[in-house]
Amino acid sequence: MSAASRDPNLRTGAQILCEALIRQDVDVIFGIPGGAIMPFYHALPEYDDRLRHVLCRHEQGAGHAAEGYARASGRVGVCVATSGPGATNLVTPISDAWMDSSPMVAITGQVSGALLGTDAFQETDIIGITVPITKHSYLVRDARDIPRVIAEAFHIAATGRPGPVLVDVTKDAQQASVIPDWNVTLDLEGYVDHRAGDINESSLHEAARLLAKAERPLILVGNGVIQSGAHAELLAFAEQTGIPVITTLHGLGAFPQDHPLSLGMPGMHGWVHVNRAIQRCDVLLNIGSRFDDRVTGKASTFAPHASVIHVDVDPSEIGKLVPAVVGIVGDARKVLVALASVLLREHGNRWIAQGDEILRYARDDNHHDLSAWIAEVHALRDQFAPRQHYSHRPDTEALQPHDVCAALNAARQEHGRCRVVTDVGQHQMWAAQLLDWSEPRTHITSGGSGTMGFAVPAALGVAIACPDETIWAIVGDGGFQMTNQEIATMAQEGITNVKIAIVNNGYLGMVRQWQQLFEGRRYSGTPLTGPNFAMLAEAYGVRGITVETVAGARDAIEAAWNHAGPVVIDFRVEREANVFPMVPQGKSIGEMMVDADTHAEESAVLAVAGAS
Amino acid sequence: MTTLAAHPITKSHTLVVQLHDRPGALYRAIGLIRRRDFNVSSLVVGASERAGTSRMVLVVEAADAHQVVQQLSRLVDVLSVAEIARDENLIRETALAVVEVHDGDGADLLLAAAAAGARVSGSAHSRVLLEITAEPSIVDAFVAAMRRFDLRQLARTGPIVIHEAPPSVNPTAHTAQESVQ
Repeated sequence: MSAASRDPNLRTGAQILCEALIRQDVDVIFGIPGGAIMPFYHALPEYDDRLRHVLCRHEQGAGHAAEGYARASGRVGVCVATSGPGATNLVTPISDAWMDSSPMVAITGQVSGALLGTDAFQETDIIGITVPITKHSYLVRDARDIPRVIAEAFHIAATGRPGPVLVDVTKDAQQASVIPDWNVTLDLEGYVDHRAGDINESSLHEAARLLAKAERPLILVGNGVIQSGAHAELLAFAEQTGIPVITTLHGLGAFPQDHPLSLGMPGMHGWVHVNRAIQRCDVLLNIGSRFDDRVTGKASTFAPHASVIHVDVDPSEIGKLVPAVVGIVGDARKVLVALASVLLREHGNRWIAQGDEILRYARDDNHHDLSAWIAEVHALRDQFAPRQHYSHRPDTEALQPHDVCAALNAARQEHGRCRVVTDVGQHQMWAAQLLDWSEPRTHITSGGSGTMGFAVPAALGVAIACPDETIWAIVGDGGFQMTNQEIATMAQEGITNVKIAIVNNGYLGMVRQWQQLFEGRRYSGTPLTGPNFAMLAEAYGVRGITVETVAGARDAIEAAWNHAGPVVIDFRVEREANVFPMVPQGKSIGEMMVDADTHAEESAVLAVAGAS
Repeated sequence: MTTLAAHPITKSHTLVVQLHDRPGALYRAIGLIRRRDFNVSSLVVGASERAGTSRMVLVVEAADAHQVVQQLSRLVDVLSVAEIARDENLIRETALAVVEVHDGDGADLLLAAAAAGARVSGSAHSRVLLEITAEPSIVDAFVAAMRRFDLRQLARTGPIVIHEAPPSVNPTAHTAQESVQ
């Protein structure tokens, strides 16, 4: 065909793919090219004014960066890889996004249609591999399908309970020239967006009735509140009803931590008073949390006195692990508004506070007073003094992990808002426990999947989503060594707002802690060496600082905050510091181990805060 | 961990799933069953009344199928899912059996087959092909009867189901109702 006769509306599948992404308001994609995705990369430069491509160093990094972008912005994160190993390297972040309900579209190149199923070079059945960890997936063999498939993929990824969608595009579909039809209708009859549905009225009234007569109610808040942007409605609901709020790892930031009704985090490394409150409560209103075993401990002993009201956007979560007396399917924000309205109309609740003091919690109908319950929980909190048990280690001069958290918290008071991305392990729990969380989407971590190596690439994605904010990645020396190559990506992309705090204890610390506590210090496979991280940072062309003292920690954090570029701080901390309190695996959350006098020596100090 | 939890008492659950007839749809649905480590004792997939959709009837051995019904409902290509009670619906299964006739037992075989409700579909040399379409329990009885003879080949389709009131595509109200109980 001569150039003159070419229809100006013709586009290659690759061009259509770029235009389809732009039509979904995508402005950045994270990826790595390869043979089967080359036509797409050939088309990309035409669109580089609207579609920024961030070249990562490993597809796992691209996937986690897309997750970080999604979690910080609430928008769909996009990652791109070639077939075969490129695609399989995305499996871990896809799984991570699945477990943490992060909206993600993963685009992979695939061998040409004629070669499918022939064990062609770099052919992998990536759809088959990812079926259990995707909301849905598409194999695109015809370029004409791309507009509809991309529109559907983004709709599925972003709505209902968000999650990852895979789009596998054959090389010949990317190369084919067709006239795209953008007038697409979504063909998703079997897909239900439960955010959009009506909320069951009788369930709402039953929930309101239970809450109104409750004497020891609690609100448990998870990721669903953050995903639905319901933090303002949650605050209003809590203040209207006077019910104390506990926040899971993924709920951190959904409720202001300095609020008198805020109790903190429950679960395996939650606070004693929070777990005790759960074991004491008579009504537990769970909004957008899925009763992960790290929250419930042994599920059959969880909240034994509670009537559970479970609000979730995914009906399959209700009653899955903890029986619910009332299940409400719907968007957290809409349910909170509707429930508040029913409660106000039918039970007339009001909460009266002055500063931090809760003066009275009065009901117009029966004048139930929650102040005794709140006082009980606050007394427990004072008794177990959550953060203070980390504060002094007279036996050692070593820098403690909690010193690092305290210095970061103090610096944040001065510098204001920042986002924190944590990896997986001890540092993750210390950060969750010891930093103040008051705003949604400022605490980003790998929860359900527990993916070490998440933090550094996710911080890259967060930095691109929030270019005007400072991003702190807190990571252990183990997780850092899994994906630190993405510092090269940051350097190449001119990222300036990522600061990486390595809590370096020379161990795979959480496993070591379990080995210490439960396996007689048999430190099998956990001692870990590494390079000089500050020098490694310098080798990547970014600033590196090594810190061994408390004063040094404060100075380094200050320097990093003020430095216009990525910084890696190697905090060389006490090697055998532990995370307490702790619920041993498989135990009731009523049975917590606490580190009574701050020493790590398990024989001397471990006490069990008895079950209620 | 707990041995009891790993081996709960199982029973048969019959699930009827209507799904789009698209590549991968069946794979996703079956993958969920596999993930729960349920044994599939029967699986039938075929055309439904609506073009472009299939009806799948699954019999799984499980302690509780509620969770897998919920998770099947989440699949984009699944239009409806129901766990059905065996006595409230029209359930049919077809079986074919080839039985070798030996000295003198031919008459007994034909009597036993007729008593079970099967008919003779063909015969060649000393072999008889028997066919039955009936409720699965009657097919069970037929198979048991044939095992007393020289049963050479047996093929069962697994049950198919007609249930007059298909469940709603949207399980929201259904779920909330169930959770209240």
